[in-house]
Amino acid sequence: MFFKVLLNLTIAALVLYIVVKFLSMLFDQVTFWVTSLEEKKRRYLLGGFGIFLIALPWLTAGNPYLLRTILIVGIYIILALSLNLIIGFAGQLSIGHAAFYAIGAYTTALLTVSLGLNFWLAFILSFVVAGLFGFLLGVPILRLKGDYLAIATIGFGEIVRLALINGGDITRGPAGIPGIPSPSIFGFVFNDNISWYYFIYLMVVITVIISYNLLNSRLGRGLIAIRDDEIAAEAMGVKPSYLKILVFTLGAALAGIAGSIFASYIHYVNPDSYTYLESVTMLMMVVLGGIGSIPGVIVGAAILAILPEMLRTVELYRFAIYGLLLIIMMIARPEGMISMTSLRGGKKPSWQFLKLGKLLKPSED
Amino acid sequence: MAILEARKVTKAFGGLKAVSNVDLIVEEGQIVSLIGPNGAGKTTFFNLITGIYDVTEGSITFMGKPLKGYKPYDITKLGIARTFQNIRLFSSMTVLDNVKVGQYCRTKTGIWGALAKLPIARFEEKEVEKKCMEKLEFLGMDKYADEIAVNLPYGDQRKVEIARALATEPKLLLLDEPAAGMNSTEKENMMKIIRQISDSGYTVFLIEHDMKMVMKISDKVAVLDHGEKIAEGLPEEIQRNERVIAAYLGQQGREANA
Amino acid sequence: MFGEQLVNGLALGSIYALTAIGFTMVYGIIRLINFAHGDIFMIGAFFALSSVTLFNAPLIVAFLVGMAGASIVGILLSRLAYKPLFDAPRINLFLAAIGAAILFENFAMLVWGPQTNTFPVLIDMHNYSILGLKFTTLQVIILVCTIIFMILLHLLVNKTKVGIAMRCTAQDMNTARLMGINTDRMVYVTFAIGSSLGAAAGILVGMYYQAVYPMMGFMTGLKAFVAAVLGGIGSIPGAMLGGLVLGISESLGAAYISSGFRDGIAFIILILILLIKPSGILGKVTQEKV
Ligand SMILES: Nc1ncnc2c1ncn2[C@@H]1O[C@H](COP(=O)(O)OP(=O)(O)OP(=O)(O)O)[C@@H](O)[C@H]1O
Ligand SMILES: [Mg+2]
Repeated sequence: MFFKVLLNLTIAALVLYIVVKFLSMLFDQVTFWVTSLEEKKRRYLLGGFGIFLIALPWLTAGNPYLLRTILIVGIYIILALSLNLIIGFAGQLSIGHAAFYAIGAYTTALLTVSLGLNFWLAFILSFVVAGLFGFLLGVPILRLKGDYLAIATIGFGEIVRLALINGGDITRGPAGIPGIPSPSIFGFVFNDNISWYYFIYLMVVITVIISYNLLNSRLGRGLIAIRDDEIAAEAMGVKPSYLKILVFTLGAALAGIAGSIFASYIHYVNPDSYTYLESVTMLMMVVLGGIGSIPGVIVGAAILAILPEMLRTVELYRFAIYGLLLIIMMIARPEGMISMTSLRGGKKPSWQFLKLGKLLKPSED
Repeated sequence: MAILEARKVTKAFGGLKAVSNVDLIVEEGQIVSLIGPNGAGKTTFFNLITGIYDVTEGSITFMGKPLKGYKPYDITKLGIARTFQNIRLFSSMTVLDNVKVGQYCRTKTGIWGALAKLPIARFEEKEVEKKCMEKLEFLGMDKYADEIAVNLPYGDQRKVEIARALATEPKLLLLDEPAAGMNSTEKENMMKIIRQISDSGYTVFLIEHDMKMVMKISDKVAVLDHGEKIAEGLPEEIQRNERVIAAYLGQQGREANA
Repeated sequence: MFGEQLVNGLALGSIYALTAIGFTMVYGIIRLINFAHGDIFMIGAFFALSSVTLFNAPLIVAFLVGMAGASIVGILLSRLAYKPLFDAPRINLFLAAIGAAILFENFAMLVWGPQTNTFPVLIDMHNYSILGLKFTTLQVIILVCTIIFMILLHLLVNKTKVGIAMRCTAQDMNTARLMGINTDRMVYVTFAIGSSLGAAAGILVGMYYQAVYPMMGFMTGLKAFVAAVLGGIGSIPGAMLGGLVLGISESLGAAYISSGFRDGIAFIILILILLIKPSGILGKVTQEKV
């Protein structure tokens, strides 16, 4: 068994290395092509993509399974983008993001099921409560640097999960809370995937716009300055603690929204959905796509949300592969598939890798 | 009038006194230079003024206000800006964005304004852009506005740092070796820029190793050696000062031995 | 009750201390919080367990197998995953360590299954009374093992040529290289020592709780990290001290405050220490040069 697994993982490592290298080239090409388009053509492209998004559920009408996957992808895009605000913009490594996702989900569950509140009120309160937790946690721990912060956030994630399991009658322990109602608006109930699709992707679009607006604002510049060089940022009048807490709160609140949506969509919450590995998955999405790069993070979220569906046969190996992928990404492509620098255009990338016999470079394991 | 006043300022790193018992006054509108051999404590002194290090003993006041307990960003907002000896530009940003960061503490857009891109935020953004382009033009760097700052040649990066510092709208500008690594024409040019800055009403406090430049440009020169102030006065007085000559000769002697 | 908890805390603390040493040594040499260290602790325990269940190995052999196996894993990890990243930003190295941790946990799950395995009892159990405190045989073994390992480590680090070279490398890698020290080899030696001590701790934990499972390194790893930070990361005596302090506060806290709260104590200590004295009890304060 030991050697069989070892062999499988070695093969997986080689395959992953090649895939990462290949995807890097592919994404470089595509990114270069898009960034070098004229402004007008880019608008058309964006418009076309918008129409595609609107039409998407009708294109998949025959396949509920596919549409469901697309919905899950949407939820992960919100999560990954919200984490990207913290990791990508402010440069603060957080590996406990599932905690805020859980807080949002449980807030909605408790308010709708236990208190019988209207979904939309619960939805807004999930945003507020998750943000509040983000703020309360952020104030003490955002003073920590890099890896220390990461470990403190892991600790927070574990504490939240333990609290959910040991929450007695309130959280109903490992069994969780079933029976969360679907939202409805003016008597129209969201009970099919198509209405869910529009709701979720509306939230995705809002999250994307928020991300861009923040990035291109005074605050966004302050954040990037902190990420690039905190000491210089402070010397230029940027107050890091304020911005870090602000963005941590916002990221947490948006994850809370994702949690609220997810809870209501599957009508059920339990602690198993919000583990450390869930936080790691979100981190992986950001890293794979490109830390700080909004299109990158969207692509990363899509790839990693779809991949498990495609890898059902090797489901057991899923997280082992994530672990390998994280290492290989760091070695072969730390900036992610669509990095912030590649989005600024530059030289035309080449297909170097395919020409060279570099395929046989088994130094990564 | 004194814009900056340091009284018996000491900074100790463990046993090492990098700055020791220094008294110094910078008069408003002047160009004051701080010189001294390598490791004399000049940069450390700047770090004390800008709040990056805490003063171990003594006090620094800016426009009559003691700076004790102020954080670097508070001090910048009060009106002191600086450049760094080992250039610290924001590596993922363009030249223009680097300069725009300087405007951060002079603008107000809050989180909702930013997220929703409210008209008032847009208006402020335009103003920021205009002001920052002016600073870049002033330094002759406007043509590089959209380049990634850290891809520029060394000398140009120093100018971007100055533009960024000016964008914080300071009263006192601290320049840490702005001409380091430049050739003589570039140095001439830098000197002109510093003069212009001074003429437009800023007070300049300068660290510089190039004696010719220091002597030409300064209204007053202070000399540090081993953390202590060994001399202060008009440029010509400093040139003749025995202790200063000894300190620099001592350094050359050390370098010759090394 | 108090005495019992104190002894329990001592045993637990020794284990944290042994594990924390691996964190601290690796941090000292390459400034990496080796997040996978806790999982090497787990792998070591599994190696030992397998050698007992498959080959009926006696305890001492099981220890050797576990420790040797873990040090090989440690060396491979540093060579294959970390070495290519020594010059990269530190955060990349840390992410690779996170990746390695996930990989090890799931590797163990694939090989040994996700369930909890019982570690067979290989020794006769007695109770001893020392200085009025009651110890079980296992607790005595844990304490004695820890003391022996600490003494060996102390001798190795302070009295041998390798130890001196290691300390040089930790202080300044470039200078050490210029002085003719093979710094890469020192990194591997550090990983090997840290990993084998971690494995020893893992085996002791496996015996103490009679449980070995893939996620056992996750919590203990985090706690050992807390112990290392508490003592002052980079300092070996600090790791020992931090481990003991943490172990004792945890078992007293669990007894007198709430046992459900047990795992939270470490994190609260971590956050407090990082906010109050980030350099830890025995660490040195440094200020970044600007
Ligand atoms: N953060 C720090 N920690 C410890 N020592 C420091 C720190 N910062 C500066 N020093 C020490 O303080 C002394 C003065 O350094 P400083 O950088 O102020 O010199 P300087 O006059 O600017 O020299 P140069 O002309 O080379 O720039 C040096 O011995 C330096 O090593
Ligand atoms: Mg200096």
